[in-house]
Amino acid sequence: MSFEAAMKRLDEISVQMEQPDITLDDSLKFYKEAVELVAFCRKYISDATLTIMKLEEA
Amino acid sequence: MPDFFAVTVSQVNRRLAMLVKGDKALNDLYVEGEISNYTLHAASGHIYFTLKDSTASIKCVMFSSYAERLTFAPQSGISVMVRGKVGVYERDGANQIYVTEILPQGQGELYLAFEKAKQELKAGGYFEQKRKIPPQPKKICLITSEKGAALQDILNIISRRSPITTVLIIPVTVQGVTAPQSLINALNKAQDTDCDLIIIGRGGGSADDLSCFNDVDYAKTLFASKIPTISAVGHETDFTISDFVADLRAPTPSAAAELATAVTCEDLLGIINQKLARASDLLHQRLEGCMQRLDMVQKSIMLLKPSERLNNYSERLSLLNSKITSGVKNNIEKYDLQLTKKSEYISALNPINILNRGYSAVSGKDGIITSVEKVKVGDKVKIIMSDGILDAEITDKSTERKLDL
Repeated sequence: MSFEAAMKRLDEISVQMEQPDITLDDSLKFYKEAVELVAFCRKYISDATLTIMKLEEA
Repeated sequence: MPDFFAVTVSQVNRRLAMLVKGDKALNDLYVEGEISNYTLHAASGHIYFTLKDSTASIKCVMFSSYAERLTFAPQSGISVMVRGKVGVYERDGANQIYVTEILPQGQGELYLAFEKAKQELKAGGYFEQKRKIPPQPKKICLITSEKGAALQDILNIISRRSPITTVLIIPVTVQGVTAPQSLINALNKAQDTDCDLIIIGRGGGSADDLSCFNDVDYAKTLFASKIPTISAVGHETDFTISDFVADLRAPTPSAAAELATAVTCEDLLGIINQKLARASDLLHQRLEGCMQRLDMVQKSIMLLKPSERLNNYSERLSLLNSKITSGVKNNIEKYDLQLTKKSEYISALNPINILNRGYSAVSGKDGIITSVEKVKVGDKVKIIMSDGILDAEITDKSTERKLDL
């Protein structure tokens, strides 16, 4: 999963969890997923190093 | 003789001044020449000099408000281009140039070219495209010299602020005659990449060094870029056409790197934490809601439980019971009273009681005789008294006599 997709998924989860008729079971599932996504995003950032690419001189 | 009267010198000079003032060509012009008799008036800060060429000269004055903006020190003997307007100093009847700018020779031509290109592009609407710079670009195209310090500055800053970014470098020549075409080629190449932002620029240099960023063809290519652009040329005081055409001007390459990473990884961590906190809040809200519902259900079950219902019935039963009991009791009392009254009434009607009070009844062979008409003289009758019966015979009868009691 990409970092962007993880961030997007986190937003989706918030929206899902805001639904008034969501069950406690689903709420717990979404929360668990959010915790995993957050861990993934934090690690992605802490592990990141600038990627440098180069084209031929123009 | 031309006229019948003479005018004053003042009037001549005034007329000359008005004529010059009315001539548009003399109101804003560039004049080339060599400076002589250069004098800086220490008290006022005004500069006075004569501008001359091989055959003519004209006096010049540059007032202190303009003189203090000079970026170099003019002196006698150097060739310059001045900008200003021609006016007549009425006291001396002397033409002079009121100078607003002085440019050293060489730079003068560049400046003129710059001004011309700027006006042309401005009129063409090339300065009006200001798209939003993505706050968190995934891939930044960096068009600059591989040899310059600007490249390393930019990489350092992006690496520090947003290491999750990818930078694609397109090396270019940033000075000299080949520079404009090099910049144009790089911009065209960048269009075929998946970059979402272009930073184009170089570090500081002389006006000549930066001149490729004033090239009109380059400016038009920059304008045509589908990808938003940040122009970062030289130092904060350097303004190039590139800066006007780009979506955003950065005062320096380092500043461009900061503008390109508006949302840093530190910001992102903050945002991530907020998202988690939000999810946590929502979960707690849900839990809270469930607890409340549980509580309510529990209470309603308590209300419905059988022993409660039995108690209810039992209460109703005893209520009914007491109602019935009291009802019956009331009835009995009522009937009792009626019975007593009736019994008294009946008792009052008992003939024995009447006989007890001294009355007697006469009975014949057909029962109690209630009328004189029912007997004949000679009939045997029985007189019933309270304590016995007398046998008697009717000896006489009369209806005239009434019992006189």
